[in-house]
Amino acid sequence: MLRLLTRLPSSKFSKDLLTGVPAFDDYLRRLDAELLGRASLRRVTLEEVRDHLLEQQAMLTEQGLDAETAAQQSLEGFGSANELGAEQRREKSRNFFKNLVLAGLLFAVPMTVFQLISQFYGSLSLYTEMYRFAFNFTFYGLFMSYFASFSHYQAGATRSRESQGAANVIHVYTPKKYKLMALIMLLLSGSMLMACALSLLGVFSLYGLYGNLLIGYAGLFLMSAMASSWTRLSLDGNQLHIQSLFQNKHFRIAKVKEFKRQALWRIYLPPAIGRSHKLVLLNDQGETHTLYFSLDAGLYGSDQLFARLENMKKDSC
Amino acid sequence: MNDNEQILKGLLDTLVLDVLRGGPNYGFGILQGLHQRMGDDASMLKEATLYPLLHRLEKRELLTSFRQPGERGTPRKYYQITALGETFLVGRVEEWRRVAQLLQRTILTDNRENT
Repeated sequence: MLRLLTRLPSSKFSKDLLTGVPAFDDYLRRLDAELLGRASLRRVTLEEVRDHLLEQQAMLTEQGLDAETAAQQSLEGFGSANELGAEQRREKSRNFFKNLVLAGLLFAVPMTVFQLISQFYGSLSLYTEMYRFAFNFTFYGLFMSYFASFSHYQAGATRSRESQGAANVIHVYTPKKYKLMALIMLLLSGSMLMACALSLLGVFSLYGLYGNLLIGYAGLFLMSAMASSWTRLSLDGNQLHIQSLFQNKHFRIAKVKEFKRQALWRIYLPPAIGRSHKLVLLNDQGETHTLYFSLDAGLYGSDQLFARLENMKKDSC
Repeated sequence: MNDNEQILKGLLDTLVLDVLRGGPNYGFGILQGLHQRMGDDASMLKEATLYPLLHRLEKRELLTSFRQPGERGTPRKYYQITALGETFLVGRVEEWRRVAQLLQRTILTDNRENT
């Protein structure tokens, strides 16, 4: 039951993963049934295993075995679907509990601080605050950890028109259907911000001073994060382009001095969808630029850009 | 699992990183690289154990992975060693070198003298 919950919205095996080799297809189906996570996450593992088996079979066939025996030997050498599935479940479960603690604290601590500030001059009940902290920690921690561990969308490998035409150019962008969702969220969070602003101006009474400030900030945060869905990063050789709703920047990278994932709390500053990354580069004129941008598995080409910048950093060392 | 297999398993992360020092590679390619380095000893390595190992190294940020269309046109997942991974590898190789030197100075030399 819990396994099924992690596989929402669909637990079905994706038929386009079938190889036409009955033994492999049976193995892939059994392996898929063992895995946790939504279809796009499971797909990464299944594709990797499928390709491995097909290549092993091709190699054995070249060595003179018939296709069926080669398939059988490939499976025997690979190991059982149960063991591989169990390993993935252990890894995902560890991630889930780690994310639960991190996400729970990331939400519950600022909420408690805001609550304490807003009630500084009023009566404080330690018991109520502890209860509220525990609720925020558990509710948000569970929700965010479930999403981060099992349910976040994993974009497919880049097969865009651009990358087919020019293999050296990497484009990082949000898939179209997620832009639509972001647009709806943008409108909702904009309304939230507007309502709080009007309340602060005294047009009507909503949450009180601190409540309006807090919820207004949440609205602004969400708006800014959603707007990042229209950011597009392109790396063509050593030319980096950053195109967003608010800016259009271009850099020629002579050297990557620093490139790293930012700590998780940096999602608050500046607000964006996905994990914040810091890039310190030296351009052709010897000027240093520090850039912050989000890279996330849900964005097309994100993994390729990360790997390329990581490589440029190594070459610069 | 016998002692020899246990030692080789401990060596495996170092060997995988060493294969990837030659450039980005995918699962099957990494396995081929391991076979070249380990010879007959590679037969004790179940292929399915390679992937969890790669994922663990990636989690520790010693590797990074990316997907791009492979030779068959389907996406293929490549692994690439990071700067942190290279530093780690240098450290591990140095540790193994010390162990090998210690063995050479002690047990192996004694054995040679006794025989």
